[in-house]
Amino acid sequence: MTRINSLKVRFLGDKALQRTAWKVADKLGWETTHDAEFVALTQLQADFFVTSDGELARAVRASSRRRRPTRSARPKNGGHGHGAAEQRRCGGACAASVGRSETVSCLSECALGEGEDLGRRHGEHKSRATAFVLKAAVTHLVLPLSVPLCLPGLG
Amino acid sequence: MTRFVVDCETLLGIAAGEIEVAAEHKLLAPTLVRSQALAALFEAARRGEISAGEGSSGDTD
Repeated sequence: MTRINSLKVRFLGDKALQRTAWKVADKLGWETTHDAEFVALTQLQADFFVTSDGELARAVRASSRRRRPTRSARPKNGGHGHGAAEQRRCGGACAASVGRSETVSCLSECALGEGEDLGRRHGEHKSRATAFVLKAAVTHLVLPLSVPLCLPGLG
Repeated sequence: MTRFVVDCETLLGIAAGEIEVAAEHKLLAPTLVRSQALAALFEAARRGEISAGEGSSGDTD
């Protein structure tokens, strides 16, 4: 825990997150809001959700089929990085090369619809979440300067 | 800068040095992940996979 507490990770859990998590869990038919908090936080504050839970990623991905994303989640710094430009689409899911040799199984971008940004009115900010699963075999992953995305329309 | 929300296992992987994160990235997590991480470390200690010292925050008795 000492290492975790010393990591540069911003921990959030305000009312906006709670409200959004409630909506996400309700929308996805989940029994608890635990996983929904991660999805909600991604909607509100982040570009990607990184999870090792394939089932969760699949559920998030499945939810994306209900609504298409309205804008690209491409990182602002473009598509260059540690040789990470390679990406290919495989239907809804794709494999994306990150780092040097590691492979991340990437589930396509999903949009969970209109969300409440922290400090914003409901519906003012239409956000999107991307989930991808770290393969079990991956023991060392370097998140590149920019992560190759699996965006609809990119081939 | 790309903002990533990380789950408990990912967070533990980062803490263990198994996952490297470029300095340009920003990591976020819901506060509940700290409880999940504590529970995961406690369970690992109970299974004998790590020592109690490795799992705890080190500032408890």
